[in-house]
Order: sequence, then C-alpha cells, then structure tokens
Amino acid sequence: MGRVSVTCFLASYAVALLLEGLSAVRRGPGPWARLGSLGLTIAGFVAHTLYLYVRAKTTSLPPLLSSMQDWLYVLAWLLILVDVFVTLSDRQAAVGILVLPVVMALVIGAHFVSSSHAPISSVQRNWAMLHVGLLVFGMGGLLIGLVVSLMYLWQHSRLKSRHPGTPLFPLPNLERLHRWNKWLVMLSIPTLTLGMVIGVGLVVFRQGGDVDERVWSDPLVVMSLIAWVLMAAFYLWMNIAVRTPGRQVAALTVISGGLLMLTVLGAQVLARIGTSPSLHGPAKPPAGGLP
Amino acid sequence: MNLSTVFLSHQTAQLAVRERLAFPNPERLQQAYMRLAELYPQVEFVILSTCNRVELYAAHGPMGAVPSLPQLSQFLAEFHQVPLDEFVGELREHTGPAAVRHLFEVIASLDSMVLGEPQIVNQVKEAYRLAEQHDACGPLTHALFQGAIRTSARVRTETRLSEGRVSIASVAVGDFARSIFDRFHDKLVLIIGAGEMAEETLRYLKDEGVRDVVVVNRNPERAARLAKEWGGVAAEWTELDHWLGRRRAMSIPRRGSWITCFSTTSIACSGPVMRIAEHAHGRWTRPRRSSKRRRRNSWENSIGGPAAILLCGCAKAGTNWPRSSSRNCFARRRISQRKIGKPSSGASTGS
Repeated sequence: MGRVSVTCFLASYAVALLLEGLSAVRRGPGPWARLGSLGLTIAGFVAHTLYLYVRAKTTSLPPLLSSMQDWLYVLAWLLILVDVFVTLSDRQAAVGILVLPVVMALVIGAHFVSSSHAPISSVQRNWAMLHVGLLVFGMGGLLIGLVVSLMYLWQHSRLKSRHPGTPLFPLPNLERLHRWNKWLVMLSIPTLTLGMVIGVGLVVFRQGGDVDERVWSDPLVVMSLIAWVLMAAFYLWMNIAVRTPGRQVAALTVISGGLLMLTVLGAQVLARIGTSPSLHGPAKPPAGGLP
Repeated sequence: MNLSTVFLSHQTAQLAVRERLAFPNPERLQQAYMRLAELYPQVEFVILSTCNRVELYAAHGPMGAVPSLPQLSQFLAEFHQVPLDEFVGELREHTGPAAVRHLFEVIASLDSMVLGEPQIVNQVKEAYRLAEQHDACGPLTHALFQGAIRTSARVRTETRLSEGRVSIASVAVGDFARSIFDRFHDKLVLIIGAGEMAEETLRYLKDEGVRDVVVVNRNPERAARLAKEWGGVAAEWTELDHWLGRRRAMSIPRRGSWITCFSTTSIACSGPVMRIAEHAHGRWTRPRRSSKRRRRNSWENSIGGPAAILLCGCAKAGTNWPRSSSRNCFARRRISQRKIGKPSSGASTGS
C-alpha cells in the first residue's frame, strides 16, 4: 500500500483519457475503449484513495489539513468520484473526456505547491477542518460546474452546427446540463463564501483581533477575494435576473471555474517559488496556519 | 438511350428555389403535363415533385430526341413565372444510364435528406401514377419506373435500410429535440402546419410524452381536425405571431419550455423562428442578426427561461442527418448498380 504513488493514479487517468479519445475515432476500438477507460479511471480512483489514506496516516492529519498538495489531491479525488458516478449512471455520456483533463491539471498542479504542513492547535482544528471542507466542496462543485458548462457549450455548438446527432462523444441534453449547472453554482458559491468567512474568522481569532497586514498581500487571499466578488455577482445575477439563458450561465461558470483554478494553482505556485509568500503555504506561518 | 432527367434537390438548391419550382397540387401538375404535351407531343414525361426535389424525367424512342436542359429550364421558368437566371444554375441534368442510376438512388433514398426514409418510394409511385393518369407515360418510362420500384423493394428487403430512425420527423424529435430537452411532458408544443409531416411529428412527440399541443395552420378545418385527433388546441393562422412572440402572455395552464414544430411543406426545412413569423406575412427575408425579436425567439436563448420557444421540428436546411452505416450504402449502391447493369427490356430498348 505504501508503494502507491502519484504516478500510479496519474498514469491511470492519462491512459483512461487516451482511451476515451480513441473511442471517438471512427473505425477505432469502439465501445471497448470506453469500457477500458472506465476501468482505468476506477483503478486510478482506488490508487488515489489509497494514496490519500497513506498520506493521512503518515502525517497523522486528515488530507484536508495536512498540506495544500494533499488538499488538491482531495479536490481531484472528488471530481473523479463524480465522474465515475455519472459515467456509471449514464454510460452514453462522454463525461471523462472533459473531467479527466481537469483532474490531471489538479494532480500535476499539486506537484508544484507546498507539500509541508503548518501546525494547527487543537482548538482551531475543527474550525480549520470546516473551513477547508467547505472550500473543497465549494471548489469541487464549481469545477464540476465548469466541466458541465463545457459540455453544455460543446453540445450547444454541436446543435448549432450542421452535425446534430453525431454519435461521437454523446453528451447529455441541454436542459439537463443547464439544470445541473444551475444547482452546482447555486450550492457552490454560498459554500465557498461560508468557507472563506470561516477562514477570515480563523485568521482574526489566531491573531487576537489584530490582523497581520501580510494577510492582504497574500496572493491566495487577494485572488480568492477577486474571484469571490465575481462569483458573488454571478450568483446575484442568477437569482435576480428574470431569464438566465443557459449559454450565458455556462459561459460565466467557465469563467468562474477557470478563475478559481487559477487562484488555487497559480497563487500557490507563486507562493512556493517565493515570489509572493502566502499565509497558506509553508513559509513561516504567522501562527497556526491554514492548510 | 434517349432518356434524361433535369432536376434540383435539397443538395443542389435552396429551399426558396425548390419552393418556387414545385408542383404543389394535382391541378398544377395536370396543367404542367398538358403544357408539356403541347410542347413535346412525342416525349414521355414523369414529374416528381416533393418538398426536397423537383425532377422531370423525359424519354423518347430511338428516332427522336428528348428536350435539352435549356428547353426544360425554359419550360419551368415560363410555367412557374420565375426568371430563368434565378434557378438555372441550380438545375442538374443526367442522361442515359446516369439518369437511370439517379432515379434508382432517389427511390432507394440514397439521395434523401434522411437516408432510408420510406416516404420517397410512395412519392415516386404517386408521381408515376399521376403521369400515367395524364397519359404522359410511355414504354420507356413504364419500364424505368417499374424497374426502379422493384429495385427499391429489393434494397429495402436485402439491406438493413429500414432499421432505426428513417424519417425527418423521427430524427427531429428522437435525436435533435432529445439533445435539447430532458423531458417533454411539461412542454407546450406549437405545430405549424397540419399535413402529413405535422401528424408524423406529433406522433413522435406524443410518444415522448408531450401533453399540450397547439396546431396553427392556414386551413383552420385541418388544424382543428389534427388538434382534435391528438388532443390539442387549434389556433388561427393569424395568431401565429401572437403564439410565437407573446408566449409569456398566453394563458397556458402549464409553465415550461415550448417546442415549435414547423411541418408544412413550404417551411419544412426553415431555420429561425423569425423566418416563420415573416413567412406568415408573406415576407421571406433573412432576419437581421441584431433583431431584438430574433434574439428573443432564437432557440439558443430559450433554455432556462420560465417559458421559452424552441425550434425543433424539421431543423435546419442542409443539415446532415445521421446516416446509416456505410456498409448499407454500399449494399444499396451495388443493388442499384446491378439493376442498371441488367436493365429491364423497356429501358434497354431506349439505350
């Protein structure tokens, strides 16, 4: 079990993606490729789970609290879980072709962020767990929304073009994709907001009411705030507007999800290379520290 | 062989041109045969006119010549009062074995918008019957069309042509509409037209679970009949714009998206809703892209609204509908080819 590495599940996902792509090639391996892709995705998922379990045992912390790297692995794990669930419930829908690249980006991106963890006091532990738990579910929801939106836009352009009903990469219908997307956004943004509020509360609590000015120069905090403002505007628009056309919702979800990935990965990479130290990274946390 | 066909189809001509050159009813067809008999008394003719094609088959014994493409183009221009330069570039001509092969491909539905659709066989049979009725046929056209009908029967029994969805309505509902909608029972369907296509489209929609149907047609009796048959409501043709544009003001018992089906022959393959609304007023113009009304009605903006309007019906002109397997195509082409290689006595006489 201890020999399970990132390469194991990353390679499984990569081959699964390749098979998913091959299944679309005319005169290609056909349905066997999709079956193989599903099998490899499940195998990768098992390896992924084992890896997280081993990491949790090694650090004696839940993966969400151990490090930013593990946190991203958990996010990728959640996406794979949804992918496997959707693929098993609708074998026709080509979900993997869009989910797997996002998962691989997260896993590869995790390689470039900090793998060390900061100490957490037992008092803050539950709050920190809630903070990162809400964030990971919010971000997971929004990233799934990003994938669903990409599927929507793909299906939409396919129907607008002169090739409807093409058997390559069958996708769910627009109405269902829109409904999924809308619910994901409606649930994810409040979850993210709550997670961020708890995070701010933790910082204030940790610093005894005297907030360190470095918080406002932390790239993750700044970029998260910008992303949050945009997402809040998006959320308000969805709730206030009389009509929310599916294509606009999908496009805005892609922008929000993309910005979120940029925030999560980009800011952490910046923090790691030392260009812009982050309170969420390993570089001398002020006190306690967030994952 | 003194045999030729002059034709235009959905592959060669725009809908507007096909519409103007069509022979929409038996009366017009009778006039056309009478006029052709006056112009070319020795020539056998069969006119095939459907929503997707207009074809003139002409045959003459070995001692005479069939009318040429310019002559038949001139006839079409004069008969339909359409300037020649508006369609002459879209007409095609085949002569001799190529004309036979073309008819065999047409009747085998190799040339149809939906490969394998069965309606074309009856349309060809009907065209042949009407030509016979108007004494326009002769030994060559008899042999040609009877051979084509036999070939079509073989194609359908010896290949897997009729498997799957084989009509525009079934593809429109089963593939296109299902790619947009998740469920149909909460949708209100607006059917424009009350002909054969409308009925077929309704049948497929009912199978999908549609409950609320509104039928709009130029002929209110036909709309009422169709609506009654399928448990819907008939509306006046003059209300079309009202239904299309002011859908949210309607006292519809059920909220949800709308499906609009265009099914009359003349607008079977049209695109945006706006065109239909304009067509209702006799204006056939391309809508401006910036038109607010078009934006409001365009199907891409429809998902997500409390009550939206959807184009489902017969989709867009020139759409490449799903085709059957290439193996079937080859099989059918082989049968057609064999039949051409061993033509029946009548057809060979003329060659």
